Amino acid sequence: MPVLKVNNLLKKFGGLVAVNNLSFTAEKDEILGIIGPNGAGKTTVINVIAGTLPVSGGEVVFKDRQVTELPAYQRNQLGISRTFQTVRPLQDFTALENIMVGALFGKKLQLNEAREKALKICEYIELERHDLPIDKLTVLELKKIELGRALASDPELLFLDEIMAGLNSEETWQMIELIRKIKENEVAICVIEHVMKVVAELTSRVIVLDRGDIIAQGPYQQVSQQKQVITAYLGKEG
Amino acid sequence: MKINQKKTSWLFAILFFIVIIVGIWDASALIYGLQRGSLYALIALPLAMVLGIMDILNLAHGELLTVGLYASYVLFINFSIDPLISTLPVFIFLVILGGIIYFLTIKKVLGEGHLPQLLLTFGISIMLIELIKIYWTTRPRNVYRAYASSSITIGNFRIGSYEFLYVFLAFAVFLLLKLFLKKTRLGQAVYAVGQNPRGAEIVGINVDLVYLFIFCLSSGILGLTAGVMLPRVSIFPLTGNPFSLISFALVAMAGMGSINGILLAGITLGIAEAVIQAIPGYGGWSDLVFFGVLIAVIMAKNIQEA
Amino acid sequence: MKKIIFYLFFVIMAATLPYYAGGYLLHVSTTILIFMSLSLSWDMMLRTGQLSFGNAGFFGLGAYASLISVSNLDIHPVLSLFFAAVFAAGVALVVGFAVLRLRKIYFAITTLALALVFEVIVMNLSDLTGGSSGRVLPQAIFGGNSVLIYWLILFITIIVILISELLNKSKTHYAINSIRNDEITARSSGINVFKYLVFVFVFTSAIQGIIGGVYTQQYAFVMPESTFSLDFLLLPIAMALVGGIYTTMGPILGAIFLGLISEYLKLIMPYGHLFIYGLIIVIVILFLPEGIYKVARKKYRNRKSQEVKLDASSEGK
Repeated sequence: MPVLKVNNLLKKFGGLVAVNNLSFTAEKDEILGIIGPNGAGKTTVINVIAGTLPVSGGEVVFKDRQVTELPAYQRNQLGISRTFQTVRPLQDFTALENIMVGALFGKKLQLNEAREKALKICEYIELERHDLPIDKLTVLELKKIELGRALASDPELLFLDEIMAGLNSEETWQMIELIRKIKENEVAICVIEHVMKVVAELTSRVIVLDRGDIIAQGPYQQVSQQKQVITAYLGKEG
Repeated sequence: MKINQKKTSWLFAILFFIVIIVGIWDASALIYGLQRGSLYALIALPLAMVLGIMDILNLAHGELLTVGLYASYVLFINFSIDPLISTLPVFIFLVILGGIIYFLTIKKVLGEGHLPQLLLTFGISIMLIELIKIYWTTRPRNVYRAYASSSITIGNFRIGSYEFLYVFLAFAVFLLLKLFLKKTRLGQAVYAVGQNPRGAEIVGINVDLVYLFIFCLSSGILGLTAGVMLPRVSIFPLTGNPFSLISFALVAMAGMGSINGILLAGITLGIAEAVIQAIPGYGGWSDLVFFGVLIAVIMAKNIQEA
Repeated sequence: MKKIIFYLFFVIMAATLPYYAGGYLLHVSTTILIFMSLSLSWDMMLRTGQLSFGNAGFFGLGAYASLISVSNLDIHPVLSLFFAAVFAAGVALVVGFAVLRLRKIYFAITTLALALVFEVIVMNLSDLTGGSSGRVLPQAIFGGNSVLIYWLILFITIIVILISELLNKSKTHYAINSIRNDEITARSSGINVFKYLVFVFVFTSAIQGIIGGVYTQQYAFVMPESTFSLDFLLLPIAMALVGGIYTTMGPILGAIFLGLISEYLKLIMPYGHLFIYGLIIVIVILFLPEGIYKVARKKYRNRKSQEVKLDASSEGK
């Protein structure tokens, strides 16, 4: 049984179709890659599935449950978590408190339970300087906070929106290891990624989006050879 | 500021509908509403400019109008300058005052978010109200001019004829402003800054100067309006206060940045108020019309966006 | 423990004030406590990131609710305060469902209009409210006994301070702080933003209603012009800003500081003494956005950390 089932998902901004009748599934224990050129509608797909934006049509089914009309906070409580492309930490909190928020509300824990859980997560994601205010932290640490907050609500479906962006190659490897570790806990993970090396390394399957449509799917090695994928990335004459 | 880009057709439709109904029922309310609504629009226009171009909601807006009224009053009492003639010196005075306020305060909170901006302009509005109280107390003051109490009789109705000046002035100011924005270099710069301040800066427009100009001009228009209003209103420190709210209601109605819409919204609100006022026994509720409109419009837009 | 003794000391000092202070100081303290509660209630709403100008409106509603319930239903004045709170909370709930969908300037200006709207409604329901001339009670609360009135207001203020402290230590603190910092992050972290906003809006309005009620019972009259006065909006805001927003200590210090200044100003300039408040808001926003309390606390901490550093370096030698 797939954790996530998306049927004929449609998202329009005014007259512009950002996501066009998209259908796909995501399974437990897999890392699904969503790739495509800029403006293909990748982040919009996450926004719509996580409930950050309302759909224009179609349905989102999470663990056999219709969540299409549910607000974002309820979807998070059910087990859909996400990170943001540009990190959005809560400025007036420390790193630990940022992570606590996910446990407090996504998981509905009490304060001391949430603190313990957040501490465990810090250990898990190897975030040592967790009692510092946000403005004292590095990019990697900020990314880890995003990830930690998403993990704190014990998600069964986790969206990672370009979590490698801004990291150097050593940090990227650290993050790849971390994501693999998370997958072991029976979480379905969807990553949006620009760096193809990361996609090749991490994903078991990819979906290629172009202007809101799926133009190819399958294992990365296979998909990357397909003509329409190369055309989408490089342009017609390329 | 997205001039002319918002559709104002629905406002037209509502206005047209109301005009027909009211015209049949009570024609004097229609004319009275037109006069009053033009004044509303005239006062709302500067607020809309500052909000649309500088992204600042000026809560001291109404108080600048009050200052204009007192300035005109002082010129009349001390130097016997007719309020209509004093519009020019008061215009200049308020342009300068606007410039001072801009340099000392507004400039420092540009782009700082709505919280400091609102609190700052709220503080300024209190300062202006209280300064006026210190010099002139809360006693209402009037300026009597014979020409301002003339009226005309159409059929069974008596309508103040002086107030047609509001309508004339409103249309004149709107027309001039649009010409200015379209035909002059500075106008084009204002337009560009309203669209995208950062982009405008890159192509070499002095954004700071444009902001200063807009704030001063807005303040000046209020001075102009004050001189024209003075013979017909009784002034006290809080005279202008409600106009900040009413002006914002008009901007919300018209859609952020629409100049045409403001004139229409003003006239619509003016007529709606006049109609409520004409209902015997319920005239006092007309002060709530603007709030009803504000809530209705904001709600409708909010739901559309969601 | 030290802290509790410290607070206890202040509470006892405040509670025994009538025994060692004169009538004038008692009156001033009563006024300061009233504005302290209003200031805290305004700040608690601000902690959600929503700038509300509605406090004067709910204060006024509470004032009218309390006076009318005593006068028309003949209930005890102290009981009427509960009525005032419930009434203000009820109106806030209804109004909140509409205005709390708005953000930023839209929310601020709509709440700014509330006081005006309530005032117009009160003016027009003249059978109940006495219209523009207002209404008078035959007698102030506790027969006008200023000591009992002071204790009542002190009691309410201590409750409000406790609420504010609890709020900053509760789960709700994490919710509203998140909403203020980044609403989208809050939503996708499982926070029901609307629910928390309504909750805070309703209970802060209830506080404002109670304070309106007690203020009215103290003077035994209501009148639109003075009950919906700008003072009850302006002073609390200025106090919180001066003391430092988002804290309990800020509004408390701000209220004491500005409350004392205000008494002095009233004596030397009967007209327009509020000018200073406008000026203070402007100055704080431009030059001291964190308020006195936070700046002082930072200085104190810096000094402490410097001392630690000095210790460390001397150990190094």
